[in-house]
Amino acid sequence: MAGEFELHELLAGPILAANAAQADVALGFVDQLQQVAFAPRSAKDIAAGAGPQTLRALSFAAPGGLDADGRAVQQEISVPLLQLVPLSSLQIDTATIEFNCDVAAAKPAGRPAALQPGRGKPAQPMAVPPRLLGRITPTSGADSTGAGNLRVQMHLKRTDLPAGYLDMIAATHSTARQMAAQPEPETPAGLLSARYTGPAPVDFRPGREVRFEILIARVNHANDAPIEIAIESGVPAGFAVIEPAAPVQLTAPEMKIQVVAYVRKEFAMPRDGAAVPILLTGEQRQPNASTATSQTIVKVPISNRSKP
Amino acid sequence: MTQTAPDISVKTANTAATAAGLNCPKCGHPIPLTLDALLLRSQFRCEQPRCYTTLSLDRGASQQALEHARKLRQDLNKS
Repeated sequence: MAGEFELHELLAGPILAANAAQADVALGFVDQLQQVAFAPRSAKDIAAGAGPQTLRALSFAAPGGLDADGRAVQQEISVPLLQLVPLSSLQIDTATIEFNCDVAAAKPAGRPAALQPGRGKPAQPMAVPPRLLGRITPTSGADSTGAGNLRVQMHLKRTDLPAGYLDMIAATHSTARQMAAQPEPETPAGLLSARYTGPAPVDFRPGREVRFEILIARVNHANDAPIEIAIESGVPAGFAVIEPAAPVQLTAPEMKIQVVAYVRKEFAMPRDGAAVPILLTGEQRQPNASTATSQTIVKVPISNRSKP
Repeated sequence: MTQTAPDISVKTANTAATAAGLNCPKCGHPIPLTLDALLLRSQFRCEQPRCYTTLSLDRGASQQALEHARKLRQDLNKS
């Protein structure tokens, strides 16, 4: 009869097919992992017997603190692609296989081996199981076109990643932490210029607050990111800048700043001329995400009328 | 089994991928990364307060790896 199989083959068939499907999925995962994680070996490597495979990696730059000379450095971080892309696999969690089948019993084709001539007779005659043949039949209510119905329902779940794969991920994390310090890319020679604008000269009498103005201007107009500017005394022992107390933001091409300084009682007039330095430190975000820093000094002319 | 007409239905319980990303080189805080973000953006910031370290992707040096990430996204979109 067409479509008739040994019953054990009929029962095992869908299970074997599910196992084969699971194996195909696992191989697909390995193939995907291989393609994403590793660079292909060159023909030269293969000819030489192929060495270890190289991980595909992405390169990032990040601020790396200061070097021994106090200069800001950037670090290059190599991160394996494997660590950055989502790889997962599925496995069959449950499978339900349903079918109706007609079973027919037939006489076995041969006799059990123990009863073959020349091997002696057993003490008791052995029962010979009938040969069972099965054929999948249409489910009730289905159209009877001669085709049988096999219903397979599978529930899949994300598989636990293989331990070796997880170990590799952990190992690549440590690779990502291996950093090579590199000098920060060149930043503009200067971010800002500044000059004193009055009043002239400033009466720098000890124990008093003094006011004066400075004009700050951008040097590099290509980058319009704001510049944060800290204004500090160039001679902290002699005077302190009280205002602005916090860094100011330069967003326009130039800006006038009113500075209030307190002249300490210990202040002594400089010997080399009647001017005191104001230190301006500017910081600006660069297009490459680094921060450029530059300093400039403004000489503020002073007088001390208390002195003869 | 030429006469059988298999009726196969497949349900995926959870095909979401495992969290991908890297750790901030400064504070160790995880910086999550999606494939889309990797392909479209060049800067990734650590969101840990008082850290905010910015990592800049060097697209030139990472070209080959990015090509494969793009191919992977195409494959995922197809499936």
